[in-house]
Amino acid sequence: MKIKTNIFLAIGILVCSAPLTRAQRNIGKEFEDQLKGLVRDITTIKNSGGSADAQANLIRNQQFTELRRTSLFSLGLAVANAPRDRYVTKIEEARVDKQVGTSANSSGTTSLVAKPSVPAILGFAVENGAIEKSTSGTTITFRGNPIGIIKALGDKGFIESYDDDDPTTKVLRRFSFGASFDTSRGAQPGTFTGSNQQLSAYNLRFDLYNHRDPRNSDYTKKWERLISNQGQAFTANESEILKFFDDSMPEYDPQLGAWLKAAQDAVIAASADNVEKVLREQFGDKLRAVTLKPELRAIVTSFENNVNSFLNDRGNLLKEVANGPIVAFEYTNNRPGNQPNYSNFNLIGEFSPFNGRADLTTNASFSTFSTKPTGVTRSARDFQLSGQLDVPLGDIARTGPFVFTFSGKYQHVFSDITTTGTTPTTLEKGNIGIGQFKFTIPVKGSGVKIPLSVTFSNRTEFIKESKVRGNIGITFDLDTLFSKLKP
Amino acid sequence: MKTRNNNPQDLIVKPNEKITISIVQSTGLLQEVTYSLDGSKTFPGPKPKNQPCTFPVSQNGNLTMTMFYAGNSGGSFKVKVTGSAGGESEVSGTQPDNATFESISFRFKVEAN
Repeated sequence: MKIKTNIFLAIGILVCSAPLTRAQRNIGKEFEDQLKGLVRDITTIKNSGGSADAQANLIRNQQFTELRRTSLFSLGLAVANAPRDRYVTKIEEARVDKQVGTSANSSGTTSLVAKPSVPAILGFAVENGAIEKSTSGTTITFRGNPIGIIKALGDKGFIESYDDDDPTTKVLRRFSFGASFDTSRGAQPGTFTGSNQQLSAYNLRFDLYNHRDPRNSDYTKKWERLISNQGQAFTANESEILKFFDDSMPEYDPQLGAWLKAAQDAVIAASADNVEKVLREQFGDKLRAVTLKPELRAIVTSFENNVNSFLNDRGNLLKEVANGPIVAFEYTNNRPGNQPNYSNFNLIGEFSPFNGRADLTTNASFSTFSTKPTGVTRSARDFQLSGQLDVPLGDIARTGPFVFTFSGKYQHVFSDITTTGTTPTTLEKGNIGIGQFKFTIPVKGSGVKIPLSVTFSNRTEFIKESKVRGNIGITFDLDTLFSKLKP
Repeated sequence: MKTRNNNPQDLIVKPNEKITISIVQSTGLLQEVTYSLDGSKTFPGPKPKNQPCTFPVSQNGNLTMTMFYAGNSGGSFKVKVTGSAGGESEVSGTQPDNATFESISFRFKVEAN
């Protein structure tokens, strides 16, 4: 009883001290991100192998122009026009509801509870260790959704037009799927082959109710109001600002024209490795050295106010979105290899208690055998109830989101199940209780997270004795890794 | 309508030709798109992304448009510009995951000639 009291006291303290999970954006961060986009695109041109003339033409006429980089040029002027220390780069929040690891039932997982959302394009995770099973293994999980496929086909030119807000794709957007492979199986154990023998599970998920999607109809009016007011205002500001770069306009400022020409020349002359340094110089000291006309200065100040107001209100709206509930249904076909295949039907909920300072996930699931094993009279395999509380900790701006997690799970197994293989064991019917503490350490900017966990249980599935076990894993988010490699 | 210097945003049109801007591919964008012709705060104004924006060009003009991303990654768009006297142009872009700007603006320079 005393131990229980201490655990709940600890969770209470952590929840009360947890900071908001989202750093507020401002014009400085927006400028930084747009600049990175330009660095990426110019570096790609420089590494493309095209002739020097072709590269220069692309940079001067298509990429580093006020037409293409309207936002960046306007933001750059606003940052250069402001006192030097006004804008400090802040970082993005990290979502804790994004599961890239394998689901709770697979070998090698460090998660007790399935999470209701998946990476937009492709999630990939490798985790070592075991929680619920007596064997250890390495599982690779792929997750995706139909919209990711449609988008990829569109990007390759196979689809002329698509809009992920039209009625059909809105429904498709609620679907996702996944497949897990256990690389310890098959003809080449330890090597991922993607063969049928290594397929350990596949699943299909449908969001029944998702109020964490910013495009949910509940938020439509709020977005409309924000975009029609501040969004329209800063678009008009940008339109006015760019007249000062355009030599066909009466407002044209030759100083800005000269700055742009010199900046383009410097970027064209730079090596691929030096593009970022050169662009920072140009948008930093070089642009700051240009004396803006008073009328332009007034427009830039108005732009700065409108963008900051937009970003502030957008941040508040997204905080509201991030605290919305999600309810999802997931079907998983588990193929454990050494015991009969079974289907799992899981109802998943996610909520944000404590004013959004924590994240609570609940699962209620029921499993049935795909084929009834010999000697078993009923198709029902088990039912499970589980819950997980995620509490983000630490200074997100400096370290990224450390997450403390407490989770618990109750499972009732209906019948004894005997495994196949050289040393058969029996999963005895009855009740299994499991608890877990997990601390997830992010490796900043890499898409890598390291989960450390301690698990305790009254028994595992196959051994009827209480057990305490520690696990260390590593999780990759390919969305983040791909973005570093993407041309 | 023709492009200048192979730049899809630098357009030459006939006097009084109508230009239509359509978002033909969209992932992860919010519903509204904002447009401003020559710095106007109201014209053409905000429009749903599935509604093309058409405007006549009687002389040189600059149209700025802004699209707004719903999230921090995975957004993309393709914009098609067509002239009533023929010709078309395309602009596309993606939202990088590690450079997650939240809106994207660009400008079409249109010269009536």
